[in-house]
Amino acid sequence: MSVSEYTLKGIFRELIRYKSALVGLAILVFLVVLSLYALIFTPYAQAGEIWNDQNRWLAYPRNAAPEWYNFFSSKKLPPSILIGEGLPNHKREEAEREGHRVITYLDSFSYNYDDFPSELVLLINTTYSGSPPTVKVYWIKPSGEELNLSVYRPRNISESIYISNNVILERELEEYAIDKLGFTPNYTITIPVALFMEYKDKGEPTAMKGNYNVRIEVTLYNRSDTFSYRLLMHGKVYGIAGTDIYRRPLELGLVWGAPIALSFGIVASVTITFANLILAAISGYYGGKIDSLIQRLTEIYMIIPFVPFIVTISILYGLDIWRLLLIVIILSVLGTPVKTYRVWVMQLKTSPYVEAAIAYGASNLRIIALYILPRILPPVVPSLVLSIPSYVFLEAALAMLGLSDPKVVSWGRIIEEAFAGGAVYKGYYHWVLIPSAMLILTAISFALIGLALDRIVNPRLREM
Amino acid sequence: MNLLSVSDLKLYYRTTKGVVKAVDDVSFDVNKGETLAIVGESGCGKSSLARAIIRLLPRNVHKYEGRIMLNGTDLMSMDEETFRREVRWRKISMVFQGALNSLNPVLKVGYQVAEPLIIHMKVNEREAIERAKGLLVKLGLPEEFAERYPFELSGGMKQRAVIAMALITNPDLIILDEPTSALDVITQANIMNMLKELKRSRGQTFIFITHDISVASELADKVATMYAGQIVEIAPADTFYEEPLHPYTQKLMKSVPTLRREKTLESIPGAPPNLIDPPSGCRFHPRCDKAMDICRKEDPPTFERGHSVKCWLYR
Repeated sequence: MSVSEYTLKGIFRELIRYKSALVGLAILVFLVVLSLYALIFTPYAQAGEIWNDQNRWLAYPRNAAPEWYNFFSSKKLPPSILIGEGLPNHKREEAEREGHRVITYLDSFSYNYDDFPSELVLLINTTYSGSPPTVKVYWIKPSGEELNLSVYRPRNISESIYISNNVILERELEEYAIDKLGFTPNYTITIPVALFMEYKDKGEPTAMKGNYNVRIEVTLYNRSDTFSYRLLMHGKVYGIAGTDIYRRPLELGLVWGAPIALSFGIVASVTITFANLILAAISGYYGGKIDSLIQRLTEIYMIIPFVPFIVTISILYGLDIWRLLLIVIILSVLGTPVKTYRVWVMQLKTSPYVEAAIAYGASNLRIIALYILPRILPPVVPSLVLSIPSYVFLEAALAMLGLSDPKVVSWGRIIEEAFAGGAVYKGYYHWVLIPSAMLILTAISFALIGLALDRIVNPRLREM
Repeated sequence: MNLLSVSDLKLYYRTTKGVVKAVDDVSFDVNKGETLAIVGESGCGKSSLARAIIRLLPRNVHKYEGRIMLNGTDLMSMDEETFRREVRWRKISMVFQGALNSLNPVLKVGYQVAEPLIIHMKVNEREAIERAKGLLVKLGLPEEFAERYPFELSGGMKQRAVIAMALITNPDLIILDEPTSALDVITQANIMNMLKELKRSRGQTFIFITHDISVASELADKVATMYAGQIVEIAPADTFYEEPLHPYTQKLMKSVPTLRREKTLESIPGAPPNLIDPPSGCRFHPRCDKAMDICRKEDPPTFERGHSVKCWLYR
C-alpha cells in the first residue's frame, strides 16, 4: 500500500480522474494564463488610468460587436478598414500647378460586407508654413460614380477630420441618394450609408460590394510643407469581445479584470477561511473565557447585515478595491464557520493523540498547528475553493451597485458601465454578456474543482 | 534507592453529582530498575493515579495534593511550565491507554517518535528522526516504517512506535497504562518480551498499569492492588502471586483463568463502589466475605505483614 494517494500529488492525480474537475482546472489554467498575460505583457500598473483615458481609444470603433459575431449572422458586418499612406493599394502623383505642389493620392479597397461602416475619419499629419494645405476628398463607388466629399483645411499638425459628422455633406449626399433611388426611403441616410449603398428599392439599405476608390487631392502652398494621411472607416465588429460606447476594446478590459477577479476571490476566501479556522481552533482548544469571548463576538458578527454594511462603508469612504477586500475580510473573520470548526476542534481536543501530545510536552501552538488543524483541513479545503466565486461575485455585485474602484478595471465595473450605457436596451449584448460569461466561467471553474475535491477528501460522498 | 516516592497522593474530580475521589491517599515507592505493576478492576483509579504522577489533569480537578519525589526532587512544588519542560518526557514518560489512538494520523511515524526529542532536547529534525529510526529498529520495527503514516501500521506496530516515543528521551521512569490491552495475545507476548528486554538491557524503571494480573506477572517486581482509589496491598511479585493477603487480591487471583485445568472461575459479587460516596470503613467490605464489624466502621490502616496490606484481618 502506498501513501502517495495522500500527498498533494496524489490528491491532484485523484482530482484529474474526475472529468468535471479537469474541465474546472482547464478553465482555471485559462484564467491564470490570462492574468499572467495581463500582468506581464500589458502595462497593468496603469491599467485603470489607460482605461479611463478616452483619447486613447479614438482609433477603435464605437459599440462594435465581437468579430466572431459574423459566424452566426447571415448579414456580414464590416471590420474597421484603414487605407492611406504606407498601406497596400496606395498611389501617389505629384504635379506643379499655379506654383503650388498638388499631390493626388489614390487608394482602393474591396468591400464585401452587408452592413455599413459606422464612421469615416480622415487622420492627417501635416507641417506647413503660411496657409494650411487644401484637402479635397473624392469617393468612387464600384459603379463608377464619383462623389465629392468636400474640401478640408487642417490647421493642426495632427488632425482627425470626422467626415461622417459633416452635416452639410450629409444633406448633400442624402439628396443625391434620394435622387438616385427615385424615392425617399423610410430609413435615414447617414454619410456611411450614402457612400456604400446600392440603389435598390428595399426596406433597408444594402451595401454595394466591390472595389472602392478614394482620391485625395492635396494642395501644398509651400515647398517645405509636408502631408500624410490615413482614412479610417470604423467597422461594426472588433476583436474577440467587441468595444463599448467609449470605443474601448472589451477584450483588454476582460484581460485586465482577470487578475482582479482571481486575486479578490482567492485572497478573500483563503484569508477568511484560515482566519475562521484559527479563531475556531483558539476558541475550541483553550475554552473558558477566550472561548466565550470569541463565540459571543461571532454571534454579534452573525447578525450584522453583511452587504448593507459594506454598501454603507463604501458610500461613506469611497473605498478602493484593496480596502474593500480588507473590509470584506474584517466583516467575515468571525463568521458562521467559526462555530462549525470550533465543534470539530473540541472533538479532536479530547482524542488520545492530542492528550499524548500534551503529555510529552508539545506546546499549545504546536498541538493546534500540527495536531488539530491538519485534521480539520480536509473538509475545509473544498469549502474554501467553493467559496472563491462568491467573493468574485461579491466584488461584481458591489460594482453593479456603483461601488467599484474607479481606478481599477474589473468585470463587475464593465457590466456596471454597460448598464449605465444602456447596453441591453440598445442591443449591445456583447458588452454585458461577455463579462458576465467570464464571471460565470470563474464560478464554474471553482465549483467543479471544489465539488471534486469534496468527493476526494470526504469519501462518504463518493458512494452518492 | 528510591527513584520515585509517592506519599498521601490525592486526586479528586469535581462533577455535577459530587466530588469523585479517584485517587485517595496513595503511597508507594519504586526503586530504580524495578517494575511496579498496579492492578485492579476498571474504574478503581489506576489511570487517574498515572495521570496524577505525570500531572496530566483534566479541567475539573477538585483536589490535587500529596508528595511526589523523583530522585529527591519534589515534583509537586514545580509550576506547570517547569514541570512540562523539566519532567514530562525528560524524567517521566507515559504510554497511554488506547495507545493505538495515541498517534497523530497526519504525521509520519518516524517524525512523531522523534517529536519529544525535537521539543525537549532541541535536537535538529534530521538527527532526531535518525535516532527515532534507530530506536524503532531496536524495538523490532523495520526502518522504512518510520516513513509511513500510523494507519498503515498494525496494532502491535503502533504499540511499538508509541513505546519508542516514550523511550526516545531516555526517561528515568516510564508509565505504561494498559499497554497491551487492545492487542491479541501473540502481539501481547511480543510486546511483553520487548519490555522485558528493555528492563534487562537498560535497567528501565516502569510503572505498569493493567487489569490483567497474568500479564503483570511477566514484568513486575512488585505488584500493587488498587481498589476504589486506594492501594490495598503492595507485595513483591512472588509473594503476591503465591500468597496474597488481602481478600480482594485473593479473589482477583481466583478469577484468573488457567490453561487446560478444570477450575471454576470466581467472580466478585457486586461492582466497584461509587467513588463519589465510598462505603464507610473499609471500602471493600460490602463485597468481602470475611468482613467484620470493624470493617464497616473504621478505615483500616496499612499493616506490615512481610509486605503492606490494608485490611483489618492483619491487625
